[in-house]
Amino acid sequence: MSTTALDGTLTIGVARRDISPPKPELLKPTGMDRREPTRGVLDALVCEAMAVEVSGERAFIITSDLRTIDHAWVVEARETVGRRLDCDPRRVLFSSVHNHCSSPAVADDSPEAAAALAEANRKIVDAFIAACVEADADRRPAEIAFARAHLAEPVGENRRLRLSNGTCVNAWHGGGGFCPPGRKVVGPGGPHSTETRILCAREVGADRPFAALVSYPSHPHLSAIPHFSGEFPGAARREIERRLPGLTVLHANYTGGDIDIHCVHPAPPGGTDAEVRWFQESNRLVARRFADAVAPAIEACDDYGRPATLRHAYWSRGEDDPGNSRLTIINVLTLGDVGVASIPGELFLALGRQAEARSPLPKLLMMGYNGSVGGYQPPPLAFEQGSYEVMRGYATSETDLLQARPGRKVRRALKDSGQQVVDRVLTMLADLGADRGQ
Amino acid sequence: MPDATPLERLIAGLDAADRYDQADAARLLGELGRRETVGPLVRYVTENRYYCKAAGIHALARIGDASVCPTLRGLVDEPNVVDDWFWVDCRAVRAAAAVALLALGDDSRAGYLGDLAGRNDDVFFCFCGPAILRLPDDLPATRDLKARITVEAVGEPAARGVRHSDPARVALKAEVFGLLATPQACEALRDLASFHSRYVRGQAAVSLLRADPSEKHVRLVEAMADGDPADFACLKASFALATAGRRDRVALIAQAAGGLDDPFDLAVAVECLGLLEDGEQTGVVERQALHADPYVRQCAVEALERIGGPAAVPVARQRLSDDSPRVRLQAAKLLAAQDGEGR
Repeated sequence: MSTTALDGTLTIGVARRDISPPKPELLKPTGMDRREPTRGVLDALVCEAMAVEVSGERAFIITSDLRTIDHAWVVEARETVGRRLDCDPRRVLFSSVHNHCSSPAVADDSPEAAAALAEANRKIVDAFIAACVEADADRRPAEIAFARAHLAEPVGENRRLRLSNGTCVNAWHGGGGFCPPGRKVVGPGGPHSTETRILCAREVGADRPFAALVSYPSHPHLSAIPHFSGEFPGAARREIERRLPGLTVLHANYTGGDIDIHCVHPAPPGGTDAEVRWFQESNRLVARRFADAVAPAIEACDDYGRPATLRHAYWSRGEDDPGNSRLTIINVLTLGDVGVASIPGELFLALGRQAEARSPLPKLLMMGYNGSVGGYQPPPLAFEQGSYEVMRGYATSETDLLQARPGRKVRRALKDSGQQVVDRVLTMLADLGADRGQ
Repeated sequence: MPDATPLERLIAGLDAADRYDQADAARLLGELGRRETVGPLVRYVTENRYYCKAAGIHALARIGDASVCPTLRGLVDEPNVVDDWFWVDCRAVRAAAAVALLALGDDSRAGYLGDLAGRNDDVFFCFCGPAILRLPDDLPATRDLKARITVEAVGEPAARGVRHSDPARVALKAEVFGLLATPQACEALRDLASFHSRYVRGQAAVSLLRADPSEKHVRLVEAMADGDPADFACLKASFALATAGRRDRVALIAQAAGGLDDPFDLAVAVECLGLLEDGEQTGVVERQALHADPYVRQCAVEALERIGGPAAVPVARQRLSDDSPRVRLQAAKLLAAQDGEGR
């Protein structure tokens, strides 16, 4: 772990880059299998970077409309940014929103599809780097504020349903799940996602912020339409920016492993065209609900300050052998009394809430899906309850790979690996606090 | 609905804002068994697009009015839910309708269940397995389907390979084994008594003594009741023993129903007391009808109905104005079962 304590002036800049695949028809989004060829890009996929500097010490926060980030992209992007901008490569904090209408794969075995995938992935990595460079150039004297917003209407709901025999099944498509005859429904298998955390940045003395990092736990997982799309996070970002002109929104997802956008389901019958229309209408609806909570919270921020310290801590394992290890990266940044933690994906919301409740910095924002491979990481009891996320059980050792089917090995979480992530984040935050004598 | 009868409240529950409240209303109407509720239930299972409407399909089977068979046949063919082809719920709704048809003496869609069995589908062997095994044996098609549910067939690895690792499926497997009640099934249940999930262990204990309450199995379940690290498994093992005649275990369950910290475990303890129908435990159950957790209150009202006695109706009348719609529905069902009194 490395830490740095500096006093000085805070500057912040932001930038956005398009990461839509150039040849979408040769590719398909990943995460939900598609049953028909891709038609194109419904709305643009983007990534953002926020550059933060205090007295010459910089850090970068990257958000993206991707489902996952390859570790190789992390390595290339951070090394290039570090070299070009003369900063510590480990101070680039990555995240993706786990969008299941993105992160392209080849549609078939053709060389054209392989070339299209290489081009799409090249575009993503270049965009990460370019966004950091542009954000760095965009830095201006700034002040920050932290806010919480409570959603008045449902957006991300718990997608596990508990039955009266104690087990859990999934409630895909908002469909309530199948409750076997003779059983009762108890209720959701965990909490709903009702709170979002926000870090606002504005120029010193300005009336309005120019950037906001919005951190909200939920799968963007509406349906498997044959299009690339920014899904709910893209729509929410556009809606907030429409209401607050001049603002750039960076959307992060964290600890939403058991959360999904159920509230708009079930999709109507009528084939793909009807499903795509429903998908767009649903995105607008949940974006409106999200913006109804977030935009006023951004506008109401009134505790802006200029923290004099930027501190950073980095912990990882398995980066030397990412394809065969339980690769984990935890990357923590503090700006005064605000903490930002980049963590692996798929922790359950209960663990996220636990981290926030126990954090030595109450103003904590987390960003998941950071290029390390945690898989679903629930509280231990969830492994006993069942559901899709834990249906293969837990790994019994660091090297335990499950032969799920011929030719496919699955890496499962350890029973306590989610808790380990939480504990590690909190320890790093506490150490950073101790380092500054707090 | 201050002036509505309990039955009217239950029927109105089919149109509740929450999909689970709707499904619970359907479940309770099925338990009530009144033929005048068939029309609303048919509308519910036909128009509703949530998978949990399977509760309404099962309710129609319980009520036993064969006039709904055309509706159920339609649901097997076109269930009016999203086709989650990669998962199980759409097939489970269709299978539930096919099972309901068999319960009503209609074997015209048994072929769908046979197809699921042929594909080694978890919907057949796990999610609908217990319901199929509980069907009466009067139809040849039913007997054929039951014959396909064997320990060996259930033990096959299924398509997604999670039949033996997902606790939701394994708990249903344990229920299936209890209904099969063969020596091989008991052997499988003894294995499941040490499964990593407390919910599977609990079901295994209940199924094992249901299948064969031999001294050997009683000793095994006693060890679970006294030594399992999880309250849930201890409770279920105690319940299994009590059901097998060990009434000394009832007091332990009552103690759990009065004092466990975890609301779900506490609700299960209350539910167990109801299933044991022990009138001496009414006081414990009645107190939990005021518990802070709505599922505990719901289980308490349900248990009071099963136990009977003078406390049930006054408590149910009080719970008609409960904050939780599910508790209100459970109370309405208790009162509706008293021949519609309790307005």
